Amino acid sequence: MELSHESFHKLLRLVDPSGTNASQNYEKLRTKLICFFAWKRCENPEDLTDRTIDRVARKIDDGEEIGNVTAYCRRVAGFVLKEYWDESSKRQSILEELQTGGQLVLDPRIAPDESNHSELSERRLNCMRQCLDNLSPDNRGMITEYYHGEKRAKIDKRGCMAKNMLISKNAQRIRIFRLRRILAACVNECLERASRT
Amino acid sequence: MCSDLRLSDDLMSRYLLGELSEAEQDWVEEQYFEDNASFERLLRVEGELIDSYVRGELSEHERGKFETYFLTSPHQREKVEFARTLFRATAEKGSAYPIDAKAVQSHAIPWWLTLRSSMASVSSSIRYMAGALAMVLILVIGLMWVQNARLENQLNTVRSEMLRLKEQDLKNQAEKERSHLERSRDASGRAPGSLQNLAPFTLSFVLTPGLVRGIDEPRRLVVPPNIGIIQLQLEVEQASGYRSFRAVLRSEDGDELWSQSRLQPAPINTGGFVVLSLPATFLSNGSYLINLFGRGSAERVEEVADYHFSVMRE
Repeated sequence: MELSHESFHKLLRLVDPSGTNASQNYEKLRTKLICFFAWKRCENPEDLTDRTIDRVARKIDDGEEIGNVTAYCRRVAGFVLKEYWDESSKRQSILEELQTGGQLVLDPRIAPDESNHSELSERRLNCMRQCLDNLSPDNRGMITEYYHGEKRAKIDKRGCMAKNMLISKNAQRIRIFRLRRILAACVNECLERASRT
Repeated sequence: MCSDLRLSDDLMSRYLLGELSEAEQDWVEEQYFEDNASFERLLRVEGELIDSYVRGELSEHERGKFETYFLTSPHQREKVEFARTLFRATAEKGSAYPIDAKAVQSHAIPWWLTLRSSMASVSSSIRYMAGALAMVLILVIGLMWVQNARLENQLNTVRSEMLRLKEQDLKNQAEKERSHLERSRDASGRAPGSLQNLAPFTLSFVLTPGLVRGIDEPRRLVVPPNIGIIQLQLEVEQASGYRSFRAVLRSEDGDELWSQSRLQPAPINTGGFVVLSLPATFLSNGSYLINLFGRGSAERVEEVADYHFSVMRE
C-alpha cells in the first residue's frame, strides 16, 4: 500500500506538531528505521522501513490515537521484523550459509575478488578522490592524517592532532564522523551521476 | 537490570555485533529512537567499528562476530566498501605529519585530557564511585577552607583587640601620670593647665613591618609637646624564633641615629612585639627607618624587618 498524500501529512504532523522541522524529523525517523533493520541483519532494510511507515500511516487513517509516534514506529518495526524472520525458509538457509561463512569476505586485509567489482570499485575510488579534493584544505588534511599510519603511531598522531587543534579526542572523533558523512553523501551522488551518464 | 545500563561505546559495539540480550537490545533501541544524539553516537561507533574491520584491527572474536552478524546485508556491506575506499584514498595522499619520538613527546596530551579519555573506558560503576568520591572531597575541602577563613578572622580580631587594649592601657597610664603631676603642681602653687615645666610623658605607637619606602604611605606619628619618651612597639612575626633583637634607628638619608641591643620580645602566639623606648628629642619632623635584627639559637644574626615611619611634632 502506498502512503497517500493525506496520510503522509498526518504522519508529518505527528512527527512534528509545530510543523517547523517535520520533514527533518521524518527523515531522521526513517533513517533510524533503516538502520534498525540493517542492524538486525535484514537484506532489505529500506523495504521493511516502508512497510513499517505504511502500517503506522494506516493506523493514523483508521483514527488510532498515537501519543509518541517514534515509540509507536519502533513497536511496529518490531512486529515487521518478526514477520520478516518468520517469512521463508530461504532466509533460514541464508542464515545457515552465513554461519558457515560460505559467502563472506573473511579477511579484509586481502582485497576482495575485484574481477566482478573492479569497475565499481574504481569508480568509487575516483569519486572518493574527487570528493576529498572538494573538501577544504583543513578538512582534507584532517581526515587524511586521521586515517594515516598504523596502530600505536596512528593513535599517537591522532592525539597530537587533537592537541594542535585544541580539541578533545572525543570532539575530534565527532568531527571525523561528520566529514565521513559528507564524503559518503558526495560519493553516492558521484556514483549516481556516473551511472546515469 | 536495564536501569543499570549506560549507552557507552562498548555497549553500542556489542549491540552492533549482536552480543546483547534481547532486553538489552530493546533498551538500546529505545535510547536511539528517542534521542537523536544517542543515534548519532551509535552511527559514529559503527563507523569506527567498520574502520577497524577494514584495517584488520579487530580481534579474532570481533572479526568473527562482525562477519557473521554485521555484514549480512548489502546495506552494511556498502558501508564497508565506503570505508575501504576511504582508507585507500587517504593512504594515497600519504602523510606530511612527522612521526618520531621527539614529535610525539613534544605533543604530549595534557594530563586532564588523558584522564578524561581513560575515564571513558572505565566501567560506569567505578566512574560513578570516583565522581561521588571527588564530590565528597571537594565538599570537605570547601568546608575546611571556610573554617580556616573564619579562624583567621577571629585571630585577626583578637590581635587587633589586644593592640587596642595595650594602647588604651598606655594612654591610661599617661593620663594617670598627667593627673598626678597636675595635682602636685596645684599643691605646690603653680597655675594649673600649664605643662611647660612638667616632666616629660611617654607616648606609644605600634609599627608594622613591610611598608615599601616610596610606594606605601609610612605610619605618621603625631607627637604633642611635652612628650619625653616615645615608645615604639614593633610588630614582629615569628618572634619566638629569636632569642633577642637589635634595633637601629636611621634617618631618611640612612645615617644611624641610635641603636639598642638585647631587646626581648613580648610574645603573642608565634608573633610578638619588640618595644623601643626613645628620647623624644631624637625624633624631629621627618622620615625614619628602623632596622630590626634577630639573634637566633646558633648566634646567627639576621635582618628580621624594616619599619618606616614619619614624625610630625605639634
